[in-house]
Parts: sequence; structure tokens; C-alpha cells
Amino acid sequence: MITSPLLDQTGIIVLFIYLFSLIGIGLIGRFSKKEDSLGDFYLAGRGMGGAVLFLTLYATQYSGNTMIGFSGRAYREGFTALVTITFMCAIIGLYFIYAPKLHNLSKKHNFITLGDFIYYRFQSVHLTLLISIISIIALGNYILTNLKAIGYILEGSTGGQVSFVNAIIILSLIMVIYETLGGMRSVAWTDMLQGVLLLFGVVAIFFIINKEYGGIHSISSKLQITHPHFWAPPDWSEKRLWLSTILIVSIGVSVYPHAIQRIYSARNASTLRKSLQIMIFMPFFTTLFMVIVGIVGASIIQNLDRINSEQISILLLVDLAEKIPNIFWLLVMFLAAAIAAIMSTIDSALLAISSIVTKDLYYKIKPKSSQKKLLFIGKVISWMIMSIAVLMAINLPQTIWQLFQIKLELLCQIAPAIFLGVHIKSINSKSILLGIYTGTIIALGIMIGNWIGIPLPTKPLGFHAGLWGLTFNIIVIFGFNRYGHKILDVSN
Amino acid sequence: MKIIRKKLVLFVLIFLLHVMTVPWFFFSTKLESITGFPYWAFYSLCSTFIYAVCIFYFLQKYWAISESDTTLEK
Repeated sequence: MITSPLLDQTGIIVLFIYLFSLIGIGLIGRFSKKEDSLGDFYLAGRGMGGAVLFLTLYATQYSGNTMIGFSGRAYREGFTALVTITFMCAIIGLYFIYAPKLHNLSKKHNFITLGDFIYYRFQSVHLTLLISIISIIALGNYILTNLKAIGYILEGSTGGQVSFVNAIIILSLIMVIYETLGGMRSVAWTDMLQGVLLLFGVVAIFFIINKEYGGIHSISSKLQITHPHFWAPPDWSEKRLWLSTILIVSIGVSVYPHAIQRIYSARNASTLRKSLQIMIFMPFFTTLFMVIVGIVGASIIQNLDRINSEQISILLLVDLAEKIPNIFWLLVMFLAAAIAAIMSTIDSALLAISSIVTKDLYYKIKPKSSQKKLLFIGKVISWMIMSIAVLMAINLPQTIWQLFQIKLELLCQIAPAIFLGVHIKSINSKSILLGIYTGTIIALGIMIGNWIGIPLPTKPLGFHAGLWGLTFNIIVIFGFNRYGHKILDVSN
Repeated sequence: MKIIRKKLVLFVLIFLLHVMTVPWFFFSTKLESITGFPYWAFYSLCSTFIYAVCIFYFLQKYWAISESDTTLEK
């Protein structure tokens, strides 16, 4: 366990200069605005070019979990952590199914939120509201868990000089300021900086750890003695769980509302296509590198418990810094990259929630509001959401946190509305509504039932509760779409 | 009709490629490795890379098919 500060005064100053420079980028975003409209604010005027689009997609998709969680998982579980590379690739594969057509539709009909597409496609306020509420819950979860993570990282790296509470408050203020200054433009430009930092951080730590400790090839003989279980292939139930993990993560993450807004923001189809073509290979330069760092770490530092294993990358860097003092800069860079990865995820989720509340909820109640008024409301909502998130991140009891572990299970249930809605014209809103309710009740029933002590596995037959929900969701959609009118006729 | 069939084939292929990335057919617990990875882990890594190459190709070649305004039904 690390108890002494990772950063000295110079390191802390450098870190805070970087953090406050993000407000400067936010200001540039504000001065670059073309008009006072929701499209300009929430989608950067729908003119995002290739480099910005790729880096904002990259920075948003790879959160603090990539820097901290994936290497920790590899430290504990060994090579089975390679599943993380597959699901990060699979997300892009799923974009191929719906993004080309959705991007095309968004250009024709000026969509701003996911709700805009849902309402255009199904003409149902009920369905639009339901999907908006599920999106808000999932995004809120994302903001809360990442805020907590960033608080712990900053407190740990400064040895408590910046407390957990102060870290959350300072960083949230920075994020909400640059977000409300320039909207998507500021968020995407800060994402560019954060994306570059993330990529450099991961590549640098990978190569230095490989150079100093030897790569996976040279430590494998040592690992075979100390961790022979790493060599055991997954058994049948673990293989089912492997597939289930790929499916639930890729389906859930591919329909994140902030990712969908980036599909709308692309300047044209060619820009979006090229960005996705680069994104498909990024797991091999990001996720794989962090997994290898975790596995190398297992051969160097042993017997860490679950919580401490999450710090394996930092522990290796501290170990290296003791041997090679000049390597201290890498520690600053790694921490900055981890914080950048988390911030880029939170700011995107915050912007998406703000747009959903403004466009899908407020605008539905007050349809005569001007664009300027809606923009003002959107900014006020961003501040309100961030304040609530900060209060919850600081005060929420640990027992309630498990309720927030359900974001992917929930998001999976809205996936058919997008995937089927884009490609099958005959699917109607009633089928999708019934499907979402059925899927959500089944997924939550399995998870909450297990938490309250009902003898029910959290992953029946090795598959996540969300996938069981999704299966029944799809069955209900096709069943009701085919026989629904007959059922309604009989009941009438 | 031809576009619809192509669309369906592509989407089913993507699902099958997902499934193939799982090391289903590896059972041996022998301490053997290729470039430091156990055989099953190396398979998973390679199959994921093949998946990535396929998606790269689909994005390049079949973007217009996925984008096309056809409905997947008779």
C-alpha cells in the first residue's frame, strides 16, 4: 500500500497547471462558437474533423478503468484479462451496424440527442422519455463512479495534501466551467489533449516497464512457477462468462448517449468512418499494454489484495523511481494521464445528460423556448447535475453504491430500439416499449433479487442478468410486433 | 433484395466473429507458451486482431450497405 505522496511539490504544481490549462481550452472553445444554438453547443456545429473526432472518441471510450482497472484485473486474473481487448474492439464492430445509418439520419433531421432519433423513428413520447430516463441513470452512474475514482487518485498521489473531498470539488469545478464555456467544442478539444496524454502515458509506461523488468516473453518462465494458474485455460462456465462479458460490455457501451452524440458531431460519413477504422486498433496499443503491465507486475510484486492490486501500475513506477530517479517524470505523466482519462469521460457524460434534460425533457414541456433560452437552461442544468453528483460522490454510503453497478445491464435494454429501429421499419413503438420494460424488470429482478438474498445466481448459466433481460426483450419485441395486433383485438 | 441479404450476412458474420474470439477449444493446462502467452491466450489475441482487421475492412468496403435505407424484412 502506498502511504507516502507520489508527487512532490513540483509534481503537484505541474499537475495543477495542466488541470487549469483545460479552462483555457474551454475559453478558446467559447470564442470559436458560430451561433447560439443547441446544435452548435452540444455537437460543435456538426463539423468535427477527423483528428478531433478520433481523439474525443478515444478519450471518452477509455476511462480511468483502462489505466487502473485493466492492469489490476490482469494482476489478479492473469491472461483472462485479455477479454478486455476483445470487448473494446467489439464496441467498434457494433458501431458498424448502426452508426452509418444513424449518422446519415442525424444530418437529414438535425438530431441532437438519442431521444431525437427515438422520437423521429417511433413517434412516441412515452418511449422517448423512458429511454432518456434510462440514459440519465446510466450516465449519472458513470459520473459518480468516476468522480469517486478521481478523488481517490488525487488524494493518494498528493499524500493527502489535496483531500478526497477537495479533489472532487476542484476537478468538478474545472470540468463544469470548461463544459459550460464552449460545450462540445471545449469538451472535444480538451479530449484531444487528454487523449494524447492518455496514449503517451500508456505507451511510455509499457515500454519502460518492458525495458526495465523484461517483457512478457522473458518473465513467462518465472510466472509459470509463481502463477501457474495463469496458464490454465478458462473452463466451460468461464468461457460462457467470457462471451457474456464481451456481449454485455460491447452492447452497453456502444449505445452510450455521449458516444452517439459524437456520431452526430462528425463532419461527414468519411470522417466518421476513418475515425472508427483507427479506433478498432486502439485496444492493441492501450488495453493490451495495460494488461501486460499488470501481468509483468504479478511477477515483480506479489501477494497484493484486491484494492492494492488496482495500484499495480503506480507501484511498479514507484519501484522504478527508487532505482532510476530520472524516471520520476513518468509518474507525473501517468497520474496526469489517469486523471485525464477520467475527466474526459465525466465531461462527455455531463454534456450528454445536460442535452437530454434540456432537449428531451424541458423542450418537450416548453416547446416554444428559444435556442438562447434552451442554451441557458442547458448550462444551468450542467451546474445542477455536477453539484448533485459531487454531493452524492462525497456522501453516498457504500451500501448504496451497488445499486449503481447496473449501468450496462440497463443500457443493454435500450440497444434494440437503436439497432432494430435503424434497420427494421416495421418494428413499432409498442413492441419496443414492452420489450424494454420486460428486459429491465428481468435484469433488475435477477440482480436485486440476488442482493436481497433470494437464492438466484447473479449470472444464471454464466450469462449476465442484462443479457437475460435483453434476450427476453428481443423475444417480446418480435413476438408483440408479429402478434400484438391480434392480442389487442382479442382484448378489445 | 441483394443489399438486404448482404446486410444480414455482414451482421451475422460480426456476431460469429465475436463468438470465435472466445478460446472455446483449449483445455490443456500444460505450461507451454508462444511469445510468452499461453496457447489459448495467444489464440484469443490473434482472433481479436482478425476481428479488428475484418471490421476495418467492413467499414471501408461496406459502409454504404450498412448506411443504405433498406429494411431487414420481407
